[in-house]
Amino acid sequence: MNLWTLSFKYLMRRWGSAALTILVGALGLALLSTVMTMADDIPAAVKKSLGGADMVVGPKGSELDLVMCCALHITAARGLVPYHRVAEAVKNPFIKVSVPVALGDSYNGTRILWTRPEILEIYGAQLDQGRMWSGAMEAVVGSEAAREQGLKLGSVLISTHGLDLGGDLHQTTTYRVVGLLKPTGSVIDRLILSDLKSIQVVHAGLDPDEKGPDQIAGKGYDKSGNPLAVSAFLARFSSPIAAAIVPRQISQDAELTAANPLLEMARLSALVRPIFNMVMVFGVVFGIVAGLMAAIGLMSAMNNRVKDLALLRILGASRSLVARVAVQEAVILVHLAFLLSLVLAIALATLIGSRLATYGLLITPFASFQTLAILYSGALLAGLIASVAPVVRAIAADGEGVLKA
Amino acid sequence: MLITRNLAIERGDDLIRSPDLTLQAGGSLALCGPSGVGKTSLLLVIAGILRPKTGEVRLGEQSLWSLSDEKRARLRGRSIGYVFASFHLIDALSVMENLQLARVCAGLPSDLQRARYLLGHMGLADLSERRADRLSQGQMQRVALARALMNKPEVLLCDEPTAALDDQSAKSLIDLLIRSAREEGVSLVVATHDQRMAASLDKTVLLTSGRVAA
Repeated sequence: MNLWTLSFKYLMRRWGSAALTILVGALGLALLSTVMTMADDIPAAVKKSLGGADMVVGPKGSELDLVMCCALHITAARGLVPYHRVAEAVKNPFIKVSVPVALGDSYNGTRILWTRPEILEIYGAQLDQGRMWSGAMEAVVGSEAAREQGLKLGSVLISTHGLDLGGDLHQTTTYRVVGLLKPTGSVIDRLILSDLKSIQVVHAGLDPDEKGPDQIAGKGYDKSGNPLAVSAFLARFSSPIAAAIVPRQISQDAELTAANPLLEMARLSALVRPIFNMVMVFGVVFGIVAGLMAAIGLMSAMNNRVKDLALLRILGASRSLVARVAVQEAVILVHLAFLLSLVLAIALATLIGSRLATYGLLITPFASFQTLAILYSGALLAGLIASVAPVVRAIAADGEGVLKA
Repeated sequence: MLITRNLAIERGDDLIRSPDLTLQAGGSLALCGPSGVGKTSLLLVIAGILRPKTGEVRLGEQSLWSLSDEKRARLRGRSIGYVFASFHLIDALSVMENLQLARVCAGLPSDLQRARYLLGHMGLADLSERRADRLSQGQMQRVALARALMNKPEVLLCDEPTAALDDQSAKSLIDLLIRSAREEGVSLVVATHDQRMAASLDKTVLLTSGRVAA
């Protein structure tokens, strides 16, 4: 038996209002915890997903759209851009490596990206098994895509027209898996890569064995063997200063848009920040309501048990000891609310995380120690503030008037 | 030894003067008199709860009202037991916890052995885990008595301890109170209307209307 037992038993005497206070407080804390975690984790997950892609160059239009489509592979393809025009634009000493990418087909919902082997440099990817493609209709598969689709070396796959499930099958052509990539944590893990020549094999009946530029020129390819149009070019800069110069230069072209993925993500964050802020306000409002409920509940409890408090004084309790009973009740409420909020926050973050994972954005459902420390301190402070009036009431309870009554 | 000298107690517009009391260790005293004469007020002054207008209460060598509020509370917790007419047990706690609460409030460590001894002595051994609000009134008053004795006080103050009890329970409690006080060697002051109680104690002080204008 100690004062904590007394505080806890008092709390249990009004378990209904205590449970409601705990629930509201936990909801507020869970909302705050989830928003704070997401605010930290989503930008980090996006950055990781982008790998080393410093710039995307595509058709004229929205930069954000271009990044979402061709760098993060979240939205649908948004048109084509002349190959030679982009290839000219990315001939720049600030660009260390650039690679064309085209998209439009998929396999069971996993995107097929037609590109060149240099794409591995952009994402810092490495082969785990097999080799890179040496011609059309050979595929190299990212680690996550291989796991999800059950693809191995030698697997044969029939692609679907379009990026969503349910498109028409390209039944006359098949890809053969010749290589598997090691995991990188970036978006390339979720892609199936193949040569640019595969585009016309699948869509225009080009013979996959026609490899030389002379053989394929005029069949969707130019004299050098490059496709006439692609979805975009990805580029990696040789210097960080390029980010401030090159995209702006390229975007001056009437047909091209160059986007810095990190900058676009920062802009997107700024756009969604008001939503985050609103959710945080909800969390704070919940917290304030819980604090008020705790204060009112405690005050009402102190009024109801004023004789008990007077009795404690008569039994020799100091004023500080009596005050502790009230404070401890608030502290117990705060801790129970905090524990429940941890469970709710993990559940909420897991739910959101599973949705984001479909876009290759991996977040942890666990709040950081710093976030937890901030929320814990805030909740404890709110609990202590809520207990101020009840404490004053408890201290004022003296034996005489009450026990003579 | 309990000594009161020149006590004047303010109550509303009235000032109540109390006769001087001297009670040897282990002695017992009944405070009798009509309702409103100031018996409870005098007990509260002796307990260090109600500050007198003038006068002194000495417990052994210690002058109670010269102490700070906190020190007086500590002395009260350790040296004075108090039994109320309406028990004042804490409903949320079990019988055992009500007894242990006396130790907690006095800043003393838990003493299960002492609590078990007192509960056995009061015939409540089987009820130690029962919640206080699930006891009969007679049982509640015995728990209140056990709680008052928990810290081995020098003085036990009882305010109409039989007032809320039926005749049989009252008789049983008087016996128990006298026996317990004797065995514990505690000085006993009882404010009572009950003639059986008064007759069982060493001496009786009759309080008459000692009111003077404040």
